[in-house]
Amino acid sequence: MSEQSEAILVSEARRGDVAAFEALYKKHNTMVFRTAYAILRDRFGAEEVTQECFVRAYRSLQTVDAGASLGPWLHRIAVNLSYNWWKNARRHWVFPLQSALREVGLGHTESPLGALQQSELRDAVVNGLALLGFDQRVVVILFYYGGFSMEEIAYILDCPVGTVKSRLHYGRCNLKRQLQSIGEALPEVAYEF
Amino acid sequence: MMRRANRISDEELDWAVRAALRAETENLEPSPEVWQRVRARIENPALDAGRKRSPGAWRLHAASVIQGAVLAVLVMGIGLSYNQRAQNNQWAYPQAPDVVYEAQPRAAVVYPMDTLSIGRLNRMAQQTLPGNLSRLE
Repeated sequence: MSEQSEAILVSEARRGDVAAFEALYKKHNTMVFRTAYAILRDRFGAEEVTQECFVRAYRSLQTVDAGASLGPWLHRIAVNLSYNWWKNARRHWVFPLQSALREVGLGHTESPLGALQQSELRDAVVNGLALLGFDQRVVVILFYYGGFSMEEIAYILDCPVGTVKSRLHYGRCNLKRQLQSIGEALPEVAYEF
Repeated sequence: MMRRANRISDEELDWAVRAALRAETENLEPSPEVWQRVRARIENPALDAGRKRSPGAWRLHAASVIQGAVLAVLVMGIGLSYNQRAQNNQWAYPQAPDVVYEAQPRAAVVYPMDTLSIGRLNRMAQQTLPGNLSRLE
């Protein structure tokens, strides 16, 4: 779907055309849902965020620039909703079942590089992301997974570009430290290239 | 080239994060009910009036109640087992009898007749020593 056709759908949806909005939903719902899931690591929470995000987007379509891509705008709503959900879940001390099951089965026995191809390091990265603060985690996810530029992330998070760069830098440092601490706990393996 | 495996370069980190996030979320799609709910809410805004709390909020509360109950059971179990162990290990001190001291009057000391005295020692010395110095003087 091109930017032009998206602009047409936005203007039709503004006039109350639900079918046009459904087309917009079909275009963006997967990315919004997956980003929310990456942030929350909770399928149910991600679905709630996705639902609320599109309801709010429909009601606020008048305020969005019809010529601009909806992606960053939808992500801005989704990240705010994810923050609210995360805050609420933290207050109620909810640990996603999926994560708990993964923790129980977590046993690192391979070298980091070898495990890169396995699920262990994937779990380690995802668990490391979960240990980051919300701000750093969101920037890392939007940058690496969403593929957004610094300026777009600054727009999504409503903060200066310098703040985004700083959060990304510290997020990467913390993530690297966590992954290396996992690596140091493993038996030393030397690779020959 | 040999290098330590647990050193993660920036490129490896970037790759690992991208790969992990992609793998974590691939094939994930929101359920079709999400659109049904969105559609119902945008077509009938009155639905939101009754939607004071998210339909999933009960899950958060139920989860915290269950977690609280599990914690309470664990704490009780640990407390009971500690108590049981403490009872098993308890050592009863034997009851010590009361000691009553009786003051007994001390009898006057009567030395036997052969108790040495300075006078007798002198006499014994004079008798036993052949070369008594006093005699030489």
